[in-house]
Amino acid sequence: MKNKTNLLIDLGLLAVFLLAMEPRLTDVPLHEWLSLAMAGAVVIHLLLHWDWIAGVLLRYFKKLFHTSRLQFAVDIILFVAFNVLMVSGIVISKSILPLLGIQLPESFGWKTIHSASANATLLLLVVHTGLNWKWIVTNLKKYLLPHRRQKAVVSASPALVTVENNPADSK
Amino acid sequence: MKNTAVRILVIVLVTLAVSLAIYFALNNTSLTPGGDAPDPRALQGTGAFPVAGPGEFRGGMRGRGEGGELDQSFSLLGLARNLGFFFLAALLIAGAQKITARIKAKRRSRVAVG
Repeated sequence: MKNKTNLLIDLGLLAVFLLAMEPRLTDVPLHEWLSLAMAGAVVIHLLLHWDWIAGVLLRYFKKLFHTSRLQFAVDIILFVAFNVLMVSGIVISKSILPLLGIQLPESFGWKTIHSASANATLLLLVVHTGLNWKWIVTNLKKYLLPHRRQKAVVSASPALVTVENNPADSK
Repeated sequence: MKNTAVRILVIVLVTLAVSLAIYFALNNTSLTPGGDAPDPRALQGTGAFPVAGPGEFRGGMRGRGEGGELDQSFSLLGLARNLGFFFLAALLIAGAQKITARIKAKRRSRVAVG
């Protein structure tokens, strides 16, 4: 159940991130609100993976599988890049900040940082996904494509039965 | 429940600390001197740099319109590009991991046989 929740949140995060990457498609106000919602979802994502984060953090400099180390390093950089993205987004906000009565002077520099960090976040997200690909595919098959999984099991079972009932084996 | 609240607090505090550090590290530096870029429409025709007007499409540049049809189709194209890039690159990384694991397993089995 926890895996299913994780998977659904992750898929939602990915969809919202890709949508938010194109502010011309969504328009700026929706882009900002989607990004804010995404920040909330990231907190839930971190919360659901708390045990893994704490476990790796405590054993980082001790003996640990290389993949976990690489994953953790990528995740830390991704977290920083995402923070840069959010901070620069808030600074250049045209919808949320004015709604709160805060008006910051426009800055072309922050806009450049915002687009650069968005590209960096996308790149790091790709690496993050690639490193967790096995988990994603396993859980996608398990929860979102259970019909296909069942079919695969059924098609594999006659072969198993044949092997089990092979008279040559009983000799 | 108490545990979850503490964890949320830790995540929020760490995020806030990192965000503030980023803001104060980057604000008012040479990267963010303040002030906006010159309005491209004001530079149109001056030859400063090739700028497309609202809804215009000039030699491969995006039209700087206000969400016109051209913008929308470009955005959809951008979304498809990002999605394609995302899955292709993730698949590549996953494939590379698989190959590395196979090579390692082969090496291990060789060592075991030796």
